Amino acid sequence: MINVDKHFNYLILIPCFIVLFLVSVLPIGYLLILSLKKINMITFRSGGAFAGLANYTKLLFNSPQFWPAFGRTIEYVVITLFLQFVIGMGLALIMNNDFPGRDIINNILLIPVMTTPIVIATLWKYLLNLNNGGINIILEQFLGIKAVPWLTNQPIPLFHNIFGEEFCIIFNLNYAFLSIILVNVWQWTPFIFLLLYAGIRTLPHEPFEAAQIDGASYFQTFRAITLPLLKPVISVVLLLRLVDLIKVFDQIWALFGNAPFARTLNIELYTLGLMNQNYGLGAALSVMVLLLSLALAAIFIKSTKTD
Amino acid sequence: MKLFNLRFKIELVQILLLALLPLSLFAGGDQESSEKEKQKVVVFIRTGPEAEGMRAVGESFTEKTGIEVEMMEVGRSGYFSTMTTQLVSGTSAFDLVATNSAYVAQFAASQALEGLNSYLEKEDSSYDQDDILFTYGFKGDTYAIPFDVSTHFLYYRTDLIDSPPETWDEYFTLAKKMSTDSSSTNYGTAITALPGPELPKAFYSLMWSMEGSLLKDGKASINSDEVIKAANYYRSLAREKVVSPDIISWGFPNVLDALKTGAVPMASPYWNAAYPLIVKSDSPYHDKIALALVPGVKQTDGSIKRTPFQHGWSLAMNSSSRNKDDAWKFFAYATSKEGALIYANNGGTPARESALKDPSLQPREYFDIMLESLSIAKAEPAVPYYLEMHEIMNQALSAILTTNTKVSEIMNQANEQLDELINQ
Repeated sequence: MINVDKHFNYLILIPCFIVLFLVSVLPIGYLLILSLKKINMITFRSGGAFAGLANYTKLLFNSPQFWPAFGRTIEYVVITLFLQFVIGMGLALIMNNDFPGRDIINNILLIPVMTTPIVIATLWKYLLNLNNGGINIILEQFLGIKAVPWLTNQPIPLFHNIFGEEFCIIFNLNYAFLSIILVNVWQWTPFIFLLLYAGIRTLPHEPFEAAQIDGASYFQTFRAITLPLLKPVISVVLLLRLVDLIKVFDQIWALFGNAPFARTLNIELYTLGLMNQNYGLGAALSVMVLLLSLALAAIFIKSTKTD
Repeated sequence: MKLFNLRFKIELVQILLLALLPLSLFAGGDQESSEKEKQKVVVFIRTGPEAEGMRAVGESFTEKTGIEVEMMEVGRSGYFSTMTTQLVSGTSAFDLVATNSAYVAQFAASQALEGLNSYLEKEDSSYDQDDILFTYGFKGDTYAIPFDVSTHFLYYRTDLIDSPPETWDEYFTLAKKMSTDSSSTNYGTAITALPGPELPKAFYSLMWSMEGSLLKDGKASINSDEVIKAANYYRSLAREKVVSPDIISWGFPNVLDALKTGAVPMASPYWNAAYPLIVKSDSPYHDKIALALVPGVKQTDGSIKRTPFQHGWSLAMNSSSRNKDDAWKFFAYATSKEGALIYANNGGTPARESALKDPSLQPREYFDIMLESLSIAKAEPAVPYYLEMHEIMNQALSAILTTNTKVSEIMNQANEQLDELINQ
């Protein structure tokens, strides 16, 4: 017999779980079924044919795009997350000091986050192009630097000279990859800054005062006090950005379409599932991306868990 | 007892109502009466000039027949994937769909479209099917009829170029000269090389004129000497810096900008849709850019073989439509001579010869060259594996423009992939 009074808090969640089941669990279940079928737009109405793990093996062993896209995705996530964290933390520490105009600068810093990603990417495409792009105009006319082919997969000369062409191709050391990282860092670093800044502002004063009395340097204080106290906030921020970066699609699409040299797993997924209308392969890749996201998130959560 | 007190009953009712509330979101569905449905035709179409023109046709049709026509507009970006998934899923939310002609065979093979032969047979002579420039079918049945056609041209600056190049060799030589000699332009020419829907189509205008083809006798033939020659030509445009080094990121808007800002003196192959956009713009060169037929290859008899690409934005009937009779009435009207004139008067490029020749339509010089190009134009093969074939060419051409891998190696690999696709 249900004790409504006692279990009210749980019972009230029933509608929410019903909706969650209908919009999440059912589609994921259908996705899993599709991934085990050889099914495309031609065979969709007839239900397709059972293929077992054939779609998965095709992606893993017989797809020229899968492994490059996989490597590119991991590289993109790691580098972009690192840059966003370092710059975001730096901005948060700077903005934690009082100086004239701080509030105005604070608001200006948040503008990129408030703009739609595809608009940002389209604007950056105009800024970065060789045909009268603003960035190259500044480089050439004000800094005397030769125009940079940002929107090409030409290897970055520094890395090309040190590591050679093959290495640059394998590890995406080209301007196109740099551009897609740049655009995302420009847009989403303020998000990390905002959360870290809010976290820093709520830290207790006493440990810092004690450190100051003990004669600790700024770096010692940051390493021994600020970072440990901010760990919960940092964990949440990095996890949110990790998941977001795995999902990035619109910015890369706006810059390069589905050019093979810029393809991440999401772009490949869109190409297979929605452009080629191969639902079986697209579903299999979706499942793999989902498992990758869960694995990365689990590793991350475990590594940042406090004892 | 607690179970029966008023508070418990109120809470239980509240919980039940809350639990049922989400389910109500899925209720309803087909609210309209069948009578009202019969009087409305819904057309799934992409936002832009096509929808504007078709809306005008729809309004005229409604005035004449009393049957309402509704445009279900979807944004241009992502239109193809949205259209495809909607059609294939079997929705009856729309009766007619505006589709690119290249997709027709796949839709027909997936049974998403209604065959039109039985409807066309019932039309009287005033419909004049011979006046329609192209029809698109699969296995003997017509499935789509165009209401708007597109083809490629050579765009050139009349103040910088006295006479447009006739052959691809002349085009390359002139572009090379313009890229180095000209102080008023940045590059020699431009192409749409952004991977996606455009890249292979621009290439085909070149490939076909060099006698290359995607398929021969039902087998892949993209590793033939002719296709490799065309691919090498394409690579040389990038290697010889005749086009911008970041040409791989240039889509339709980028080439348009380059012409309007004077960054390039030519662009080819490039879509006819850009011409009215240039002419009506505030570009300082809007009256100095002209159209010519795409370059070709000189034949032994001195003639020039040109094969501009063509495709049509076509109306097709959703096989899941519940209102096929009324849908056909609008379909026939929209693709009739009267419908074509209304569409053209609202900014579209009609798919009927009589409309393109009609003296009441302006600017006529543009329609003259449209007719000339369309009379020699070629379309992609109507195959049920079109999308995957397109992707194979997309990847191959992207590799040709951006890597150092031998062209023959790239095309051989692509040919293997295409053969595997055909044999599936």
